[in-house]
Amino acid sequence: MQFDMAKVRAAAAAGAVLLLVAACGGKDPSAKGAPDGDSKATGSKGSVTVGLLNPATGPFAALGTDVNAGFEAYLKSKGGVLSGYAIKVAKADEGTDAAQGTTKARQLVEQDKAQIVIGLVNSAIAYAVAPYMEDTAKVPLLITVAGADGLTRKQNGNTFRLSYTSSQDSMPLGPYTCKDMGKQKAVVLGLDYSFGWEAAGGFARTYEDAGCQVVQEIYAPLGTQDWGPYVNQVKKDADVVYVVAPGQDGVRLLKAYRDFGVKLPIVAHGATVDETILATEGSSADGVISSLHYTPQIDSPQNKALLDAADKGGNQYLEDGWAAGMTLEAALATIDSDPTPDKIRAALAGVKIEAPRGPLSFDAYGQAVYPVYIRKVEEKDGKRVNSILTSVPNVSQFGTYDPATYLGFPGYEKLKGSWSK
Amino acid sequence: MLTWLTHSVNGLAYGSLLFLVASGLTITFGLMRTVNLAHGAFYLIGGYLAYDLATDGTDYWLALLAGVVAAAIGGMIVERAFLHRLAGRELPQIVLTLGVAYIIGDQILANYGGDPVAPPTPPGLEGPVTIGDWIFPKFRLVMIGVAIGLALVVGALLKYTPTGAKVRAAVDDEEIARAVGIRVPLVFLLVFGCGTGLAAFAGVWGGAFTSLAPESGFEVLLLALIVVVVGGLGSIGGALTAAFIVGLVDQYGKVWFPEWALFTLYASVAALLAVRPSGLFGKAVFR
Repeated sequence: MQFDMAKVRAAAAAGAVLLLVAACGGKDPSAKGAPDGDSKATGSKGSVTVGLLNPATGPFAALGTDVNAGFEAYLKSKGGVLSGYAIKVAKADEGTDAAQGTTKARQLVEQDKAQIVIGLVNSAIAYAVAPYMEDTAKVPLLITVAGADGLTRKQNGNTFRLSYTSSQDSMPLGPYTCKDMGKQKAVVLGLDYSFGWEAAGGFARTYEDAGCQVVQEIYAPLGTQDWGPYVNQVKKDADVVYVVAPGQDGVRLLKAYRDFGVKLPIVAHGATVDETILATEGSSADGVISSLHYTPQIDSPQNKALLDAADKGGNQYLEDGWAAGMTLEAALATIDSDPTPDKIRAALAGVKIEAPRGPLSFDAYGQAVYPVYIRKVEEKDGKRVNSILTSVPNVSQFGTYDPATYLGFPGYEKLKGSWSK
Repeated sequence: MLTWLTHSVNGLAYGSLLFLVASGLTITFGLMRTVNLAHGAFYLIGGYLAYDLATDGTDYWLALLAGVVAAAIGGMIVERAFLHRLAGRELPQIVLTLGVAYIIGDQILANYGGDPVAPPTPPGLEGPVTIGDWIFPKFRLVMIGVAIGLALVVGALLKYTPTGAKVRAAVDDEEIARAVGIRVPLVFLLVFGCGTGLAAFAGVWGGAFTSLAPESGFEVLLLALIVVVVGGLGSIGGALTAAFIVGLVDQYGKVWFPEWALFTLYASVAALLAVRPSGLFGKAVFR
């Protein structure tokens, strides 16, 4: 049989183009920068352009999508108008490296004329974007996920953050584990990078200051495929294991932990069992006690509004995006006309809102102060949820420590490995 | 004493997972010499499809079969439509298969989102077995048997059956093979399909072990490449041996130097390749 090669080639090329079109059509991973908010909405006081800078590609794409969805859901619930200003949204993809992140931030500021930039998941990118926003662009930055402790250490700066510093949400768990649960000796099992050290450090510091002892520290590389060797090293005579492993690492760790029959109870950073992975973790997460500033189980009208608007059920990232919308609304409420970046920055510092997570305000360093929930994974109506055991109000990035004292401590990257000594 | 038994057996179990993941690549890359960077993408196709069907209530084994068949067909389409034009041209193969990997990865991101999912553990293999005081996960133990069995079956097929002889002939000297009447394009098509089908099987079983996300494809590709290259291109026995060695090195690296885990693994691979550039069982290649 004679093939007509030209025809075959044309068919193959057409097939490839179709595949490409399908790949782009689904969710528009290119996230182009043109404003695409509700263009029909008009505000009585004018309009504000918001730059959303979150990952649409790479390993953090899911988190970025959730933050954007949360922000846009809040905007939609208000008809596209916040405090009398019509909101135009310009979106850009934070990408996976600092150079792309900064380029996209510049694009949002210079081309789209964003008056505030909201987003950032990757702390390495945030460390590059924050100085650009402060020194060159002079446009306020509201971080919604990136957790590195050092991003909010300057008073009256340009950077605000709604999400946790890596150590903030783990600090209330230390005294809870030591005193309320009465577990005297803890093993720390976490990931070997800055988030892991800071989250584990926040727990270890408050746990030891409450009078208990960290007896062993095990850190594994990010993206560890097999946690078997690590869970098998856990000292059997300890009372409890503190775990910090978000994403796939959390899924793998808990599975290995249960498969090898390790019996010690688990306390964890909330990101280890948040709603993005809880269903996949399934029964391996049962009974895990963790601390985080949010759980969809919070019973309040503000949280109900979020859960009603989000079609996939709540999680901390959706709430971060939603709270960013509320924060912007509260800031704009104090501005009568001409919302310049300078006015928005000044207004943000004084924001106090009732978010789905509870009362939220910013400290002098731009970091959010909010309640932290001690939660427990339980099965409820055939679904696993983080039920609230108790909550700790007004948790700041310094925990219960005096800011000056806290800022004098060595960085957690230097303290890792020293807690158990 | 029991701890060391656990560490050693778990090293073998992790090696078995690596062999499962690498087995398809030993065929498409090792045997056929096609640089196939889309290997991880076919792993994802199998894993996600089986996850999707199994969570919708389809029988586990049927879901597994569907994932494997879908990836085999997908692999054959890629081979017939694009790859066969690029025989022996490594750089275009790299660009093409990388493109396929990105397209499939983005499709999965668009359809399933980026949150991790996991196909179920095969029924009956959940939880640990207890022998005296010794506790070990059942699934991991079975994985060792499956890896050895798979290596024996694939090795025997290639070595002792007429089909295997045709495959080896087609790979070794394509022109002579065609001259004696072997339908080389058909052989390559089917072999490539087997390779991507095996990748999908690894996706279903490996996915139950490590869970899946759109970027898992590239993590898996890296591990599979290590096993294939260390074992020696085209050698099934070599790949199994390499997988066990890498598994044990990784295991003991994590036990003795937990914070140097990545270094102990890659440094020993680099050292081995410095001494034996064609891998443990690879034939020296002259050009």
